[in-house]
Amino acid sequence: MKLLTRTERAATTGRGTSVAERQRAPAGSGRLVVVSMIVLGVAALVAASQGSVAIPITTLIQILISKLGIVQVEPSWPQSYETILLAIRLPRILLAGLVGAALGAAGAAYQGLFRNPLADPYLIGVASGAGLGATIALLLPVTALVSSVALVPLMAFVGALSTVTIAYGVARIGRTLPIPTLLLAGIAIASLASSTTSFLMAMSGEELRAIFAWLMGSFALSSWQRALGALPYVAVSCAVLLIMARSLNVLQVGEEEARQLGLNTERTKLILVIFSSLATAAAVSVSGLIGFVGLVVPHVARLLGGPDYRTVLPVSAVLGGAFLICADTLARTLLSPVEMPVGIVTAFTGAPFFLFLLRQRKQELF
Amino acid sequence: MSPYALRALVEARSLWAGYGSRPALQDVSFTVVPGEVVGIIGPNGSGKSTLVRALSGVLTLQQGAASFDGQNIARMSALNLAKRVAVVPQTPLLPESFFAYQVALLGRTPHLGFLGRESERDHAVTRSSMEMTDTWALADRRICELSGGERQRVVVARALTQEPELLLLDEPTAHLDIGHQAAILDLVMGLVRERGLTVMIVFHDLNLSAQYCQRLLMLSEGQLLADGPPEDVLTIEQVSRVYGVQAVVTTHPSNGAPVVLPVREPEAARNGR
Repeated sequence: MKLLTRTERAATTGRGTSVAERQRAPAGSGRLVVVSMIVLGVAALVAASQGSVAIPITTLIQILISKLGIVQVEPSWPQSYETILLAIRLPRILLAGLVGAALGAAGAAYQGLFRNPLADPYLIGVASGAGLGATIALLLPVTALVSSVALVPLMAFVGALSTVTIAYGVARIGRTLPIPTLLLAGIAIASLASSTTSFLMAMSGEELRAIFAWLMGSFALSSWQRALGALPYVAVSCAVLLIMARSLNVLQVGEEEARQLGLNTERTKLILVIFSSLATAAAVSVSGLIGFVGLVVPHVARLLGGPDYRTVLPVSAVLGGAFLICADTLARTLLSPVEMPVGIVTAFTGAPFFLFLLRQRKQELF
Repeated sequence: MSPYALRALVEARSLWAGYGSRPALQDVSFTVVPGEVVGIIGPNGSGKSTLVRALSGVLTLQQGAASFDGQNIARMSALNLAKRVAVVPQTPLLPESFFAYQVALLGRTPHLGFLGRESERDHAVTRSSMEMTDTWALADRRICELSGGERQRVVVARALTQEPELLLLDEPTAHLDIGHQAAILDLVMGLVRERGLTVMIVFHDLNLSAQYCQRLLMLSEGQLLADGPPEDVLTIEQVSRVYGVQAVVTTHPSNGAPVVLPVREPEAARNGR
């Protein structure tokens, strides 16, 4: 059956209404992504200039330009600026941006997959598994340096993926994955893992403070090695989730109707679970359990650009990165020289802002 | 001309579905040829919606096989089936914050490439089907702002956007006023005439089914009780047996189609029952 008849020419040449226009040439959503990226860039620059040693932004840009070899600039700044910027601040900003992007994108994907506005990246056990892995690593009789640099991220990553795999294995029936069962299995595994973590914490001695600090999340141990280690997981996962954005739109009509619309729902769900979990696991293993980003940022993206996942996903990733860079900058400067756990800052700053946005909203959010 | 001289588009061979002592479908067999308009009637719980689900590939059959254009539906991918078969569910689940246009555009899903980018043609087809269903004016409205009938018409637009060969409608007129009921059914009949669309419609309203279909399938407790033209299916005996109600059957004053009217109990008693 071909529907295009006399209306075809009119429809292709005439101007449609605004939604149709926006859908056809999604310039509106493209503009939002660009604006979000500018916000991200400004956040990164401000973050790089702030700290125990304040570097003026003009100097900062000169250093970056000269280091990238674009233009040869005669150094008019102390050598220490370069060291602070390149060895300490930039890897930390990159890592915070990557973790924020991973949590933002995974949060949006989970909210779409579970069709639930309360879903966040930690819902089906990633965080609890990572917490248990990290706790065990911190309790192992190895030197603190080995433990914190290598073992904690590794075991957190393994723990995160193990819990999701168990939840997935329990929920799966034959070749189908019932989403409500995945949710319940994930919550059960998560509480098992977190109660084990609590037990280990209760039994621990002087490691308690280290475990607690890890669970609250921090970028204090950032390094180029750590940032570049997380980069491929986050980049690949975010790319796959962006490709899946339209399928997420289709899933919003329910699985049965999505299948009647031609979507391979089982494959879609599997890809979404794998890559959301991979992004989240990579994020938590290098930074600890930073809450609030994955829950709130996708809603902010929806408020700004509407419910289409082709907008929600990229905007969540970019704004997630920007938000976490800002939060980490506050965490390390507010009570300087003491660092606050960044997870406390995300909740302290994000919650009131989110409540304000909820009061401002004019239409159905989810 | 006997319809069986034509190639079958839909063929149900001894369908069994569901579990327990009263399966939802029991040994249901029929054939539908291209261009037919087939009504599916029967009381609540008789298996009408189950049949629609079986033919759209979302239900696993216990026994038997349903085929579309010679291919076993159970072995067709969701993508290949959705290119040719569209469904209007009885109670569609719609994302409340989406715009009506976005929902209609979802009908292009089976026709898009790997990255899912819609072309000009995809948008043109969407606009065309929204205009046909009288929903183009609603394109900019969010689903949560629409009435039940408006939502239903948006879902019909979505199904037409799929450009199907077979359209399965599960009580498409349930939430519609009499004007939009006729509009949707007349639109569907027009597509049957102009483009050879094949349609199977689940009807709640027996008289509407008799008005629009040359052929009715009557289900009762999962079994196919009758299959034929409305005047053979909607007899006093069959209607009172299947629906458990006293009824009279008369003919429509303008086109002679059967019209079923329920009879109140005291009146039935006076008539010798």
